[in-house]
Amino acid sequence: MNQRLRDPLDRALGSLPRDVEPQRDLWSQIEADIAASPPPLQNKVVDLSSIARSRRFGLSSRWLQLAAGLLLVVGSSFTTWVVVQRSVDEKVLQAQRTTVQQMQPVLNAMPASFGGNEVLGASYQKARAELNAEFERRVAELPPVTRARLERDLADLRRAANQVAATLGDHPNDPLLQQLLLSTYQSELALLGSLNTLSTPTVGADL
Amino acid sequence: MRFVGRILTRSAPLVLGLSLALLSTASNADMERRSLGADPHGQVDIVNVSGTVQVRGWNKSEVEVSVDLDSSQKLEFTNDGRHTLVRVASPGRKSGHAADMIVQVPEGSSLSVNTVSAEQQIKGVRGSQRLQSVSGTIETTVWADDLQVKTISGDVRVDGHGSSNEADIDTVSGSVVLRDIAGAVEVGSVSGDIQVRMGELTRGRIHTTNGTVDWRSSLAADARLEAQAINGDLKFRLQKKVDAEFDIETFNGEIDNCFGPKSKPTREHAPGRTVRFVQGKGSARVDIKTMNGGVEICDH
Repeated sequence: MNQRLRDPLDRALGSLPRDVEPQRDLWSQIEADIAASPPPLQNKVVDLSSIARSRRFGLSSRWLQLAAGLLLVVGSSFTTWVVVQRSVDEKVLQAQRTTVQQMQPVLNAMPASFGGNEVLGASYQKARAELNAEFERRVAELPPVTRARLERDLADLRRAANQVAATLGDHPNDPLLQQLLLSTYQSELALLGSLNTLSTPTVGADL
Repeated sequence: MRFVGRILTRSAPLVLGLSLALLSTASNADMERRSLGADPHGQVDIVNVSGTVQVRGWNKSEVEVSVDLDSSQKLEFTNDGRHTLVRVASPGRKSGHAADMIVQVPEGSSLSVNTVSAEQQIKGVRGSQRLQSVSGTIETTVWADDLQVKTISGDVRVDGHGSSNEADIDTVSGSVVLRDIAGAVEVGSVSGDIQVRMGELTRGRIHTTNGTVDWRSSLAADARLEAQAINGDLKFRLQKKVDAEFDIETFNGEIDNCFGPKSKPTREHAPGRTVRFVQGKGSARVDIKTMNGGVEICDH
């Protein structure tokens, strides 16, 4: 079938002429035009100042080109930096927001650093966050008066820890403050953990 | 008319007394009373959420429980040799009727009492005691065995008999009063005040955040006493002969030392004070640190 289609096409192509002859000789006219044309700048007055201007302009132009290039590089770099920075800032802010949201119970529960210089370790914060979550659950089961008193005491303890931590931030090498802050942190952990053992075996116990 | 009024006025206390007696009798009549044989030196565990728990040591080898329960409550009372369990349970309820409980135990028993709001009062139990409460007060008497008390907001009072033992008291906002004990003591509070009147101290560790400490004891020859506070004031009266090395430091508080040496500034242009000195042979050691609290230490 392809053979059948190809044969008429081949026949049509074969019928086309091999060459197309020009209707007249074009080269004679071209030679005449070239011979009749004057040489360029042949009668032109040379203005040296214009040359100097031209050279100066040429130099300036190069500097301008260089400056434009530099500007282009700086501009594009700055644009890139702004775009990237904005993106990074947004990512950082988003990460910070997410972290703050995730750690909010923890941040409520403790100072975030040890005297402003040393950040508390992740495992410590995790353990503390877990204790705090369990504490929140347990404290909700207590009678309102006891709960209010306990929450007030815990707030006092945290306030004291913050107070010591802030003071330690101003006096980072003070061993007394370091010792007291460590002791206060331990007290808070002990308090967070104590409610588990105190109320576990009694409330709602079935036979 | 005046005569009738006089009769009524004079008879009012009698009527009131009779009414209370009848109420008491009726109340006692509602109490469930059960007893089980027990090891004279066994372990007794008591659990009650709210109400009162009174424990009395006696010279019988049995545990007897008297408790008023409502229809929703049950008493779990079991003994498996050395261990006796007494527990008021309210199946399916988070807070039940406040059950008043009186438990008599062999006086040599080791005791564990766990309550939420129920008050605890222990007398005459000579074994070790482990007492825990969330908001209920705890009052106990101790002899030579160990004592451990934990409360959140409940006050604690411990009366000893001058015998040496180990006491570990931990409270958040409850106040602590220790009297006539001796030996090793560890006391901690957040805002609760601590008052100690004891005999000879061998080991002492006190820490408070905002509570005050009022301490009176003598020091054993090799005693160690450590105290820490953030905002609380610490006052120590060390009686009898004192042979100790002292190291006292505050970040922002005053030191009043009547043993002799005056405190001096910890650092230039800062309010902190410090004093280090040796009294007598210096065999014991006293170490006191505060942030804002003041320290007063004296021998009278």
